[in-house]
Amino acid sequence: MNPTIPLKFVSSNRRVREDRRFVAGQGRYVADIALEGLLHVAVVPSQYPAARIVSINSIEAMKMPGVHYALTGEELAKAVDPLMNGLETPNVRRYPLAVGQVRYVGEWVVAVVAETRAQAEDAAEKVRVEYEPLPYVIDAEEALDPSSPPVHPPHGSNLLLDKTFVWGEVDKHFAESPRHLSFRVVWGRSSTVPIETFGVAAKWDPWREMLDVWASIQMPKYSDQIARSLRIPLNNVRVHQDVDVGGSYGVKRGIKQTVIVAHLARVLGRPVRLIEDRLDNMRAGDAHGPGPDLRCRGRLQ
Amino acid sequence: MRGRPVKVRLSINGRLREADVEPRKSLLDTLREDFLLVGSHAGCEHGVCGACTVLIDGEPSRACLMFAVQADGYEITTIEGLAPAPGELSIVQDAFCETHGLQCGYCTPGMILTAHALLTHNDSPTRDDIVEAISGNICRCTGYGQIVEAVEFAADRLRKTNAPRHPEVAIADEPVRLAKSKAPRQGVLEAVQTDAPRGGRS
Repeated sequence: MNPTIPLKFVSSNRRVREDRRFVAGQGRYVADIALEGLLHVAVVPSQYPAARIVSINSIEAMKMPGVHYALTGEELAKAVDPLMNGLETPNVRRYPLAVGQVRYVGEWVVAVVAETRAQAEDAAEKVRVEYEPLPYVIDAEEALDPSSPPVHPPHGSNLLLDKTFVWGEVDKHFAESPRHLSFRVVWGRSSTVPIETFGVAAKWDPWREMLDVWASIQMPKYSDQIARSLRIPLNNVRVHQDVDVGGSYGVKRGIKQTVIVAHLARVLGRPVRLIEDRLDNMRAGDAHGPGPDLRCRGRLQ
Repeated sequence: MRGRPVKVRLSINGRLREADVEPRKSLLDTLREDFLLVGSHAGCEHGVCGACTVLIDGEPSRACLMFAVQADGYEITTIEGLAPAPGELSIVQDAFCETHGLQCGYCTPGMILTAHALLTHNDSPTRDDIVEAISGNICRCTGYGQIVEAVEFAADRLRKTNAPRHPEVAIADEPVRLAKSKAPRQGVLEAVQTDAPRGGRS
């Protein structure tokens, strides 16, 4: 690089190309996208931290005006593969809707589809779910105690990953160091909260076998994860990239939401969307960060 | 609960518009769904975040907390009503572009309408005035610094725009003060530098 040539873009005062449309209210967020024949989803959440699902009765809900469908986890699990969790835990199966058991308050149990979101919410209130409450554990350290109830019973314990990473001659250096240091760091579960909740709309074209997705998403491998769960090739998923995202800060992952609407679009033959309201978002969206409890030991020379 | 749709007649951005809406339908949903004015956004949907802000008779209000049937008879201004013409921006809108007082843009329409209302009442707001005015509009991207800067910048431009070009020509109600003052006036509207090809404030 020739230092005598002044930089054209770096450190110069410039306007941002996107700002003009945003200040005029002409952004194009997922909730602004109008698709012909669009249907809307509302979800029925769990009221229990852990419970067996005994039965689901959607008869009254289906009689409500504008209602098209009530999707249960059991039905969905037959049509899709579990969501990727990045761990070698084949018996920890995460589905978009609870299957057989709920594992936290707010977990989505039934997805109700109607002509409008308001109608879907009205009908969701009519879905009757019978639960048998189970013992639960909410503290991570307590969860490791063998007497604690397992969150995923088929897995056998609450330990998902136990791995040792070693760089250098740790034991030798620790033994040789004169100064010791140890401390514990704990902080509560936290999350970022974009002003726009997550939302997604999907359309399935059975003749081209093409899934079109519009979502509030910026995540790499989003289409890949959807395709895997829906058991379709990656190149049959088209994620539209001209959708503005109303903040994300790392929490917008939206796989379960997308699998739900994509499956419903396939079943119903019409585009379907799920726009989380703030309650959906905060109790069962993607906005759940970990609660670290770190035990640290160091040796100083 | 649900109810039979009723006819509402709303004055939106200076135009009288009609729709049949359920009594329980919020003004926000009505603006977005019945009038396709989707610049007003749903954020928290319980009156906390300000993303749905519209002006009711010029005052910032939560469109998510108001039913459409309550808005009958008021002058409603949405973000779509601020631009003087298609493709043009108001001074406040342009100031937000100039200082880049936004990132994702989701809170921006509500923020700009709130700023617009503030500057309608007060063309020389202090920093505290601005912070107080936008305290009901949550932005999670910017940290607010460049938003406050945008409002200050807009206030400055508005004052200059509204000042007389030739101070020696007396304004009816302040002839004495103008006649006595020898100080250089800020009253001349400067060439808009930001329209220069490279953009930016000098």
